[in-house]
Amino acid sequence: MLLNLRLYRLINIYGGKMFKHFRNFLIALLLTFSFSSIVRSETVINVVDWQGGVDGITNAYADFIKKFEAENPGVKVEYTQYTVTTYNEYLKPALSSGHGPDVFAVYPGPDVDEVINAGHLVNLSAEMDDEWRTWLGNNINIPELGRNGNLYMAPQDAFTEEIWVYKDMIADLGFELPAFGDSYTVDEWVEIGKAAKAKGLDGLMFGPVESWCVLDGFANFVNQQNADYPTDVLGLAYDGEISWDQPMFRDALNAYKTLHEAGVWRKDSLSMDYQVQAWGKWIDREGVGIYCNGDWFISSAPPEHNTADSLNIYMMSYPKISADSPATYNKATGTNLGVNANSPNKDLALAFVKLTNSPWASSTFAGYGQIPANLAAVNMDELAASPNLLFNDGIKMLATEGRNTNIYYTQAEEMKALYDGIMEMFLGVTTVDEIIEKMNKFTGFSG
Amino acid sequence: MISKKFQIKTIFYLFPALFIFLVFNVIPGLSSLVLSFFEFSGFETNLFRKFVGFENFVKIYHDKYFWIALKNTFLFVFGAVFIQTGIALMLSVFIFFGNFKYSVLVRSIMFFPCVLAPVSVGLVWKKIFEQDGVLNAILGLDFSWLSTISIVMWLIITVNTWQWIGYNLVIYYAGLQSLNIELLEAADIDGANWSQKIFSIVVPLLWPTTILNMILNLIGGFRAFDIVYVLTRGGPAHYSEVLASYLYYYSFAAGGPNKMGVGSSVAFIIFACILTIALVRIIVMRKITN
Repeated sequence: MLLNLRLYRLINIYGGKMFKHFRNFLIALLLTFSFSSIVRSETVINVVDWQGGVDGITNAYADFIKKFEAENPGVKVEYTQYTVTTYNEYLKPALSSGHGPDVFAVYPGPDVDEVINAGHLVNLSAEMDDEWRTWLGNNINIPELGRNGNLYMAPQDAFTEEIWVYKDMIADLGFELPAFGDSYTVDEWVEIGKAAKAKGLDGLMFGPVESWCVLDGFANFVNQQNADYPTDVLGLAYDGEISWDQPMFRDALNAYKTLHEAGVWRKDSLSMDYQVQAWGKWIDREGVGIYCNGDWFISSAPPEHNTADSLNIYMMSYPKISADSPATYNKATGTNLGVNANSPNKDLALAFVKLTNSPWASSTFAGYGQIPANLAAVNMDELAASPNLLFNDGIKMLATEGRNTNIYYTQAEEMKALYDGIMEMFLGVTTVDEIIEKMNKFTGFSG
Repeated sequence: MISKKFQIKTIFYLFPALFIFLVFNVIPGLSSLVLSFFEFSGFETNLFRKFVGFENFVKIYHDKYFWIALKNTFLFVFGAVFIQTGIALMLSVFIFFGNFKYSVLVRSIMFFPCVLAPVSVGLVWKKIFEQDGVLNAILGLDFSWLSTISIVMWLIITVNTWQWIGYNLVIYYAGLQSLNIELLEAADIDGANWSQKIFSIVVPLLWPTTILNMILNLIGGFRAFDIVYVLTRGGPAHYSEVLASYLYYYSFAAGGPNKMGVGSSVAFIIFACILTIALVRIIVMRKITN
């Protein structure tokens, strides 16, 4: 009671003043909001992707925005980049709130289905004009960009996923580089790994904490052994339509087992991510090569190894299971942009995405060392003669003939099961046979 | 008698805090609980589109990595509640009664990691534990500390203890300063040795402080995420996953399963664990008080 009375006095003495302060604060807040909404009369288009840290994309988009704003007075484009690993933390709440960004990227794979099914993406096939259609060319048919024959995502950059090595380090170890477009076999990598280890280096830097670093290489190994190419056998296996107990899947698992057990990459790799640790250590020349790298890093490559006069970086595809394995590449699009179906500025958003697919935009991407997805709309010879030697090789690699491996699947749980199995195999707690058995069971293969 | 005006004013002043608590704690908490019975990827505008009953719980029940995460969470909580609190108690007693010259400096140094962001602490320790890191350089080894499943959780516990021990120590130190020193003087007169004084007087008198430290560490232990995520991201192969990091993996991770409904059911299990322990504590404390 005494306490209550004291509290009562306290509130009566200070409460009156506090109340006035609180009231004044609320009025000031209201005035600020009203004033800012009056001042902010321009239309804002929000563009969001996960390309944080990729200079080529950042610089190209700065130019796109400049051009778009000049062509559309009163329109402001706000471009925000997230990192790959944190992007969905932003995108999920933004879209589920119904007020997501006007233009946004979606991870290729299961996410595309989820976002389309949730009704967030504009069907670009229904909206695009003939000019845009011509610019896109065959890209309209890339599976990861759409569903059921409709295009939902506009491709931005393209890449070949591969291995990069330092030429001088390979020479120091006494090995010869394979012909351009060819690659070393698993056994050759084992030898390179041993020679590198003797010099206190790693054969390959590897960041399997990012699951695609494991799964995409696996897909490539499988496709090298795929007797029914171009049938997507891995897709069929994920769907439980064919057995996992086949040499092509076993060989792929054994290739990983051999590389890991031979110490081609350090054991510590199992707790390393690709984009920060593996890449950083490769930049520091702790490893001869970097596994599962891609052309998207051309603009971030160490400049001292990619000058106008000399190129000390060499690209090659994933290790070959055997010397007669056919050339097999992982070629795909990187960031793909979609337009929010709930955007109040849908037309402007579409116009911005169209601009990013224009021949001018493709040249801009190329100018910053980023391989544009719409290569059909640009002069390839002109592109491949740029002063950026690494970029030129990237273009050449993308144009190299060979098998192309699908890397974007929609079976999230099945992919998780395979990834977990391979990681456990690296740790020595499961065997190839157990993974095969588990995958057959998990995918529901009934024989 | 409290007037109506006073009551209205009280409610008025309570309202902002209550509103924030409701909007940012209660409503999301309840939504998460409800979501655990739905299939939700995180992208849909209609969160409660597809009711799946207990399917999400069944899924995690059959997932061996969930059990690894649960076991690791309890191990982490054990480390935080017993090891961290125990070491903090020993250190605080040592510093307080040791009465040595630089005790203030030592306390400050020990408290220093608490003010660092767990992310930066994690990054620094990751550098230490790497195969080409500081620890191997000192020991002359080529050991892969963070990729060895039998020790990875203990390394995480060590880092967490290193970071937060200073926090417990400061609380203990405050407890020690409020001790009735006359009891120790009386014990001196009675001829008690130092271990009798510590274990029969100081430690029992510090019991309320110990309980406070344990509860703080227990709650922090169940919520642990950042240190695990930065050091190992739950790896290798989910073997250092705790419930909070597994929840994140299921809900948001790039290349993860993308199932927020399942993530919500993991969140519900974390909540159930904390609630159970809190209830047990209340019952036990009530019995002790009675």
